Amino acid sequence: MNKEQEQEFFNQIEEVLHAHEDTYETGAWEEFDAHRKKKKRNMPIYVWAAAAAVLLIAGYVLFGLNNTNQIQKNPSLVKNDTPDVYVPLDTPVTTNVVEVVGNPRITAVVNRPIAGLVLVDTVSTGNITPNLQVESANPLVKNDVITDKNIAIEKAIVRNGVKPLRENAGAYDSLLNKNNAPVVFEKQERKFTYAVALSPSLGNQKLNFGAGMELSYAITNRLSISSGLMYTALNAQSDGQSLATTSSLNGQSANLSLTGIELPFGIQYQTKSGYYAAAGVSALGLINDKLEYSYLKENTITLTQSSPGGTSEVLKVVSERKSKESFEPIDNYMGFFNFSVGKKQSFGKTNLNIGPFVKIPFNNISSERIRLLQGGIKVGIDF
Amino acid sequence: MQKKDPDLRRIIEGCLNNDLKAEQQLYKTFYGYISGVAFRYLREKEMIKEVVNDSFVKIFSKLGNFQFDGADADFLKMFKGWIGRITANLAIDKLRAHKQLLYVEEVAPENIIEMSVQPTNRLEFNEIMALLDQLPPLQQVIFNMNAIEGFSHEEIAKELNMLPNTSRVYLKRAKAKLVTLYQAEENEQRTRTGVF
Repeated sequence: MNKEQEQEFFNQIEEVLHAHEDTYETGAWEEFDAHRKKKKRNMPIYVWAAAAAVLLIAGYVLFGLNNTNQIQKNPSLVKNDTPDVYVPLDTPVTTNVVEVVGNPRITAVVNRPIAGLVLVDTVSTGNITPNLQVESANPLVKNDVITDKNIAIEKAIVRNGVKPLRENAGAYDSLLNKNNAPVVFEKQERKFTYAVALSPSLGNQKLNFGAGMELSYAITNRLSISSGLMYTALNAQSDGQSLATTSSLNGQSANLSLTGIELPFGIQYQTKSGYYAAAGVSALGLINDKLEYSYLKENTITLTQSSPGGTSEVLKVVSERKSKESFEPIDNYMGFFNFSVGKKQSFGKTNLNIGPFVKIPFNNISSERIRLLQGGIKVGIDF
Repeated sequence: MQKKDPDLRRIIEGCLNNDLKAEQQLYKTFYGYISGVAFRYLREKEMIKEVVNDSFVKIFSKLGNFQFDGADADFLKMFKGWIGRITANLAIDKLRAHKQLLYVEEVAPENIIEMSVQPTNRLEFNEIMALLDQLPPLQQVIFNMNAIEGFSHEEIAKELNMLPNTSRVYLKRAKAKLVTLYQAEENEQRTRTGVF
């Protein structure tokens, strides 16, 4: 045996294997193309996650700004449009002395309890050391020293009954508020409300699940509109008839699994006693979808049986349960009508909302005409 | 096959321009070849189908990287080599994912020095596959990668996470075993037919 013979043997193997081609399977291209399009169409989860994050942050910023504006615009808290004046010092109650230690020395005498003392604005005093010493008839505050060096004192006005609003007042404010009477805020109805919601449901013989955030805006005391973002997982089952009609397989069932991000929009009416009714629509963008058929495959097998007279062959039909994924494209977006009722129960600053809901799809899905009708319980916590 | 070459260039250009018809043509033209490559690494029909489709996804997305400046006569051969290597890589990934690639093999002592074979007639595809099937899985993979797809031992070593010398040893054993098996087959056939 020489090297040439060996080389010829392996060359033959290479040639034969290179030249070999399997026969084309009918429908392979169509299946490949459908599968590829389906993969392309499904937006990756991080795109949805990014969109969700942007919306939630935008909502939070809006919510925060709205609250700040409410405080600043409330005339009972700040009198920006009123000229600064000294409070009359002639009311004979108690005398408190506030000393601003520095050069020059500023002293204000107040005939009111120190509890109401407020530094609304400051007087420009040149080279004043930003240390404040408070002398007061009130033993709780006497000789306390304020050391917040961030205070640039320009003008000192002593006023009674208003909470200081300076951002940098820091220790000074805390000192002045030590034995404050409770600051009176007018309780405002919040315009924006955040909620975390869970919505397990049942539909088409399968369990579904949704979870996410909702943001609602109160148009009036009773009426509000809401939107949000929910992660939704839907499952449904049908009888698999479309498989049976399009192939020789004995279809048993079709199982549909969908996950996506849902964007709801709704309007809610709430009664005085806390009961509410809501209606709206929602759009579901799919992240993933899978339609799988279960079917029975029948095989005929031959069994050899031994008997006293000899052996005999018996034919048996064996059914085997198999599943096959469908490459049928499913619409990437779908819509639902949403209806719910329930009750809001207040727990301190938070509300617990609980009540039944129903979701009615705009359309049926796939050739199986699966209807993703769902009903369940929605539980939410408002902040 | 030579007739395909001018067409193949046109089809590839079409695919690069996202022409669906050109993609369909390329798919149908090379489906059988890619399926044949996948079949040398995998046996399960569903897995082969997945690898074939994954290969085409990769071929369509990387088609711009295929460069060939040689003679027209070699264009088809080079293209088949390129898509064959893509398929082989994906098939190995699949084997690895399904833990069907065994890295430890008990190899019986063999005479790997003396090889004696004289192919008497043209080997058939089924005969070759029957021989390859008798190789241990890792030897089979390395033989396919080196002798058929043209991977170097360094490339095989990188892909299979082993030393290049290990790959060389396995290839040598695979070749020796193929020769032994072929000879045994030939002898048996001669005995059956009475032709010596």
